[in-house]
Amino acid sequence: MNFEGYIHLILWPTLIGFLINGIFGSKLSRKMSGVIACIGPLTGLLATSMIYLTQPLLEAKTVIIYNWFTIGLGNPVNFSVYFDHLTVLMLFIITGVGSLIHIYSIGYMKDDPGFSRFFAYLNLFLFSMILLVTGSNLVLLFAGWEGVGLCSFLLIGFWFKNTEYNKAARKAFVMNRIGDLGFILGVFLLALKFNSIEIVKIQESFGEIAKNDPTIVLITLLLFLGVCGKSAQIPLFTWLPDAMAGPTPVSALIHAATMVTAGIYLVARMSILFNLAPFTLNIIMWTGVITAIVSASIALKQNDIKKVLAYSTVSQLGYMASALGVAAYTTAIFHVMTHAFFKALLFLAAGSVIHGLQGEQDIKNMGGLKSKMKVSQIVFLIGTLAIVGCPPFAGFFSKDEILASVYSWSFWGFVVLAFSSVFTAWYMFRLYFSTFHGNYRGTQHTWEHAHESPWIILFPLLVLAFLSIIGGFAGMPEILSHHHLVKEYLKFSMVDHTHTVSHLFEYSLWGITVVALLIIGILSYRKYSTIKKEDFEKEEDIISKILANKYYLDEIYSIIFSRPLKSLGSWFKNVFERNGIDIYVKAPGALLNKASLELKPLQSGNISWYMISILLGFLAFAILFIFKF
Amino acid sequence: MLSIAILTITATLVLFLGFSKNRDLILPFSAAGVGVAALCLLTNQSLWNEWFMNMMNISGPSKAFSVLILGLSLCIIPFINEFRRRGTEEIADFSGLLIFSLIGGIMMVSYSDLMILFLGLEILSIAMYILAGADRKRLNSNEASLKYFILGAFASAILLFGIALFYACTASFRLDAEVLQNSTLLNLSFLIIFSGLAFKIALVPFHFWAPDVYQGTPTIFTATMATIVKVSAFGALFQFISLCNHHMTEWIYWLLSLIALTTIVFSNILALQQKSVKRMLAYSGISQAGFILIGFLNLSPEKSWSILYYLFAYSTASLVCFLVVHFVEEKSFNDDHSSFRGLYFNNPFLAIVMSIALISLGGGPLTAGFMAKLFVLNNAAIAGNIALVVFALIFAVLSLYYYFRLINQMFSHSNEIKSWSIEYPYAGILTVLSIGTIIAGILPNILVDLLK
Repeated sequence: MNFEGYIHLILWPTLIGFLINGIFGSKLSRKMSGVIACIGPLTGLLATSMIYLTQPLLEAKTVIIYNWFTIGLGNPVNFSVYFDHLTVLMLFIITGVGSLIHIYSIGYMKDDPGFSRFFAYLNLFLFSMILLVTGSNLVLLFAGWEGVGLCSFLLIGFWFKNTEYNKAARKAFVMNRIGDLGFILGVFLLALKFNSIEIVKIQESFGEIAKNDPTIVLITLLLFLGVCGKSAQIPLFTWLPDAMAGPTPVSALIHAATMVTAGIYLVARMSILFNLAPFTLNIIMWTGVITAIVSASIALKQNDIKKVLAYSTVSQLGYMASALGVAAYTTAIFHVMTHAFFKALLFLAAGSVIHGLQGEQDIKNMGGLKSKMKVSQIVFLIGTLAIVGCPPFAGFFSKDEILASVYSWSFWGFVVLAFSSVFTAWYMFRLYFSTFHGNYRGTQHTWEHAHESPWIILFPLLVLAFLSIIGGFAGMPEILSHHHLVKEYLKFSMVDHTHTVSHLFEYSLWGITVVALLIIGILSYRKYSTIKKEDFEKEEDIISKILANKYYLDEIYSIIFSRPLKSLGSWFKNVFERNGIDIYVKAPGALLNKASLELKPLQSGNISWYMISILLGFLAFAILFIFKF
Repeated sequence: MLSIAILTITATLVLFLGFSKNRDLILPFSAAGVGVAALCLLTNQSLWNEWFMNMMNISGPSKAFSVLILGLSLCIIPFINEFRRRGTEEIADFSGLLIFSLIGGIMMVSYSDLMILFLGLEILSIAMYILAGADRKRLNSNEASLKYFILGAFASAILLFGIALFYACTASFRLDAEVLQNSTLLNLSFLIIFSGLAFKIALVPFHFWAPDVYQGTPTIFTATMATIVKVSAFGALFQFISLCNHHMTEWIYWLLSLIALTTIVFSNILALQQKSVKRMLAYSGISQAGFILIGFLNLSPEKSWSILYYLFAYSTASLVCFLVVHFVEEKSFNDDHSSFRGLYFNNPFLAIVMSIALISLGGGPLTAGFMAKLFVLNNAAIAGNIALVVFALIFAVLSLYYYFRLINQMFSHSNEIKSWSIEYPYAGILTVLSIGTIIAGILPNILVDLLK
C-alpha cells in the first residue's frame, strides 16, 4: 500500500466509527459498538507504524486529498495533509494512547447507559485531533482545534443529568473560547500577512522578516493566548481541574495525553515563527514556569484523586510551555510523549481504583488498597516514579532535559521549576501512599466489595506502565549516549536553539534529584502511610487552606472579572440597555415585523391589482431606463 | 434533440395508458421515459442535433440545466401516486402533462432563437396551468389555476411584445445574429423580455402571483413550480443574457442588482409574518431567486457553474420542503405553522430531512445552501458590488428567523403524539435529496467539477 493509502487509513476510520456509533449506536450491541470504536485508532496506529517503517519522510510531504473549494480570486482551499516527523510522532501518541484508552473504556463504561454515545464522542475526538496534527492549512488546523474543543465539552458534560458536570463543561468551553478568540485572530492575521493559508507557504516567507517584527509578535502573542486556553496555562487553566467531571478515560485521553498538548504542538509546528519573536518566547517561558509552580502547590492539598492528577497535568504542561519558551521545542515534544505515557497510566490506574471502589474518588476514604488491587498499585507506583522524575523512568529524562534547557536560558526560571519538582514529588508520594498503604479509611461495605479490575482494564495499564519505564530512553542526555533518538528524529521538523550545560551540572542535578526524591519518599511514607481520616482535616494552617482552595483563584476571578462584569452587566441591562440600546436594537426587528404586516395587504388576492403592479414595475424600469436614473 | 423526442413519445403513450384499467404501470413508465431521456443527454447522444435549423442547441450549461430539470422531475413523478389515495384517478393526465412541461423546460434552457423560447415557455406554462388545478374538487386549487392562467397569459403577452420589438430592431429572432446593433429600442426590448421572464421566476415586483398560486396548487405541483419552472426560467434568463451579453449596456446589470436587492428585501420581510408554510416557502423561493440573480451580475460562461450550483442547492432543498409539507397536509389537512408542531415526535424522519432542507435554504454551513451563497456572493464581491453583498447577507441572516422558527416548531413537544408513517419509496427519495444536499455542502467540488 502506498503513502496515500496509509493517510486514508489514518484519517477516516475514526470518522466512520463516529458516524456508525453516532447514528446507529442505539441499535448496536455494546460489544459491537465498542469493537467498531476501537477499529479506528487501531488502524490509525497500524498505518502510522507503516509510514514510520516504510517512508523516510526526510522532507515534509503535502498530500492534497481533495480540492475543497475555491474562493476569492482562485485561492484554493484544499483538504490536504502535511506529513513530517513531528506529525508522525504526534500521530503515534494520539493513536497509540488513544487505542489503549478505547480498549480500557470498554471495560470502564460497560454499565453506562450512554455506551455508544461515549464511543461516538471518543472517535470524533480522535478524528479532530488527527485533523489538527495533520492538516496542512490553517482552515483544517482550525477545524481540528475547534473539534477537539467541542468533543471535550461533550465529554466533560457526558453525564449531563448532573448540573455540576454541565457547569464544568460550560466552564471548559468558555475558557477555551477565550483562548480560541486569540487563536482565530492570530490565524486571520497570519493569513492576511502572508496572503496564504498553507502552513508551508507561510513558513517559506519567513525569511524576509526581521526579529521582533511587531506584527509577528502580535500574531505569536495571539496564538499563545489560544495555547493558554487549550493547554491550560495561567490564567486560563482553571477549567482543566473542573474537567475531571467527565468519565476517567476521558480525563486520561483528553485532559492528560492528547488535547491539552494541542497548544504545545501548535507552538512546535510554528517554531520558526516563534523563533522570530523572542519577546513572546520569554512570556511563554515565564507563563509556563509560574503555571508549573502554582498548580503544583495547589495539588499538595487536594484530596480528590483525580483533582490531584489534574493539577499535576497543569503543572507538567507548565514544564512543556517553559521548554517551548526557551526554544527547546524538541524537548517539549519529548516531554509531551513521556507525559502522555505516564499521565495516561496514572489516570487510568486511578480510574481502576475508582472503578473498584464503586465511584469513590476521595483519598480520605481510601488507604491500604495494595492488598486488594495489586496490579493497580504497582502500575500506579511506576507512574508516580515516572512523573516525579526518578531515574530511569520516562519522566526523568524529559524533565531533566527541560530543567537543563531552562537553566541555560534563565537561572531563576530554573530555580522555580526545581521547586515545583519538589512539590510534584511530595504530592505524588502523598497520593500514592495514602491510597495504597496504611489502613482502609472508608466504609466496611465498600472495602468488602473492593476488587481488582478485569483484564480489559488492566491490559492497557500494563502496556502504559511498560512505556513509562522505557519511554525515557528515547531521549538520553549527552553524558549517557550520543543518540538522542527524539532529537534526531525531529531535527527536520523544528528549529531548536542549542542548549548546552556543563557535564558537572548534569551530574549534580541527577545526584540532587535522587537524594531529594529519597528524602521526600521516606518523609511522606512516614506521614501518609499511617495517616488517619481525621488528620486530613487537621492540617488547617493558613497556607494549606490557601492551597486547598486553589489560591482562591476561582474566587479571585469571580471578584476581579465575574462580579464587576456582572454588576456592570446588570447596570447595562437595567439602565443602559433598556433606555439606550433596546430602542435601537428592537427598532429594526419591530420595524420589519410591522413592515411585514403592513405590506401584507399588498398581497390582496386581487388579480387586477397584480396586473397593475406588474405594469407599474415595468413602467418604473422603463422610466429609469429612459432617463438613466 | 433525441431526448425531446423521447419525452414527447413517452408523454403521449402515458396519456393513452390512462385508458387502461390498470394504472400501476403509468408512473414507472413515465419515470423510465424521463430516465432514458436524461441518459441520452448525459451520454451526449448527438442524433438530430441540428434540428430546427440550429434554433436550439443543447450543450454546455443548457445541458446541465436540462439534466437538472429531468432529475428533479424524476423525484417528483412517484409522488403523483399520492393523488390516487385521495380518490383522483387521472394520474395519467398529470404525469403526461408533467412530462410535456419538461419538454417546454428543455426548450427554454437551450434556445438560441426567441421563437423557441416562446414555444417552450408556453408548453411549460399551459401544462402548469392545468396542473395547478389538479385538485378539481377544491376551490383553492381552481382559484390558483385561474389566477396563474390569467397572470401567466398576461406575462406571456409582455414577453411576446418584447420579442416583437426585438424583431422590429433586428429583423431576426436569433439572439446570436450578427445584425444586432445597439439602439435604445433594442435595449427596451431586452427590458420587456426580461420582465416577461422575471414573471416566471417570480422576482419582485412580478412576484405577486407566486404566494397565492403556490398555496392553492396541490403541494406536489407546487414543488414542481418552485423547482422545475424556476430552473427553466433561470435557464432561459441565463441563455438570454449569455447570448447577447455583448449588446447589453452596463445599465442592464445595474438594473439586475437593483431587482436582486428589492427582491431579497421585500420577500424576506414578507416571509416573516406568514402563518402558512407554503406561503412562507413561496416567499423564501422568491428571496432565493434574488440571490441567484446576484450570480448573473458578472456573467461569463465559465462562471455559469455558480448559478447552477445555487439552483441545485435551492431546488433539492425546496423540493424536500414541499414534499414534507405535502405529508403534513395529508395528515392535518392544512399547512399552518401550528400543524408542524411536534413533527419530530410524530415522524422523526420527516422532521430531520425538513430541518436539513431548511438549514440549507437558510445557508447553514455543511449544507449545499451555504456553499451556494458563498459562491454567488463571492462573485458579486469580486465584481465590486460590496454594498449588495452586505445587504444580501443581512437579509440572509434575517431569513434564518423564519426558517428556524419552523424547525423550532417541529422539535417542540405537542400535546398529542400521532405516529405517522411514510412509505419507503418516498422516504428513499427524500433521503437521496437530503444526502445530496449535505454531500454537495461538504464536498462542493464534486458538483462544481461536474458543472464546469
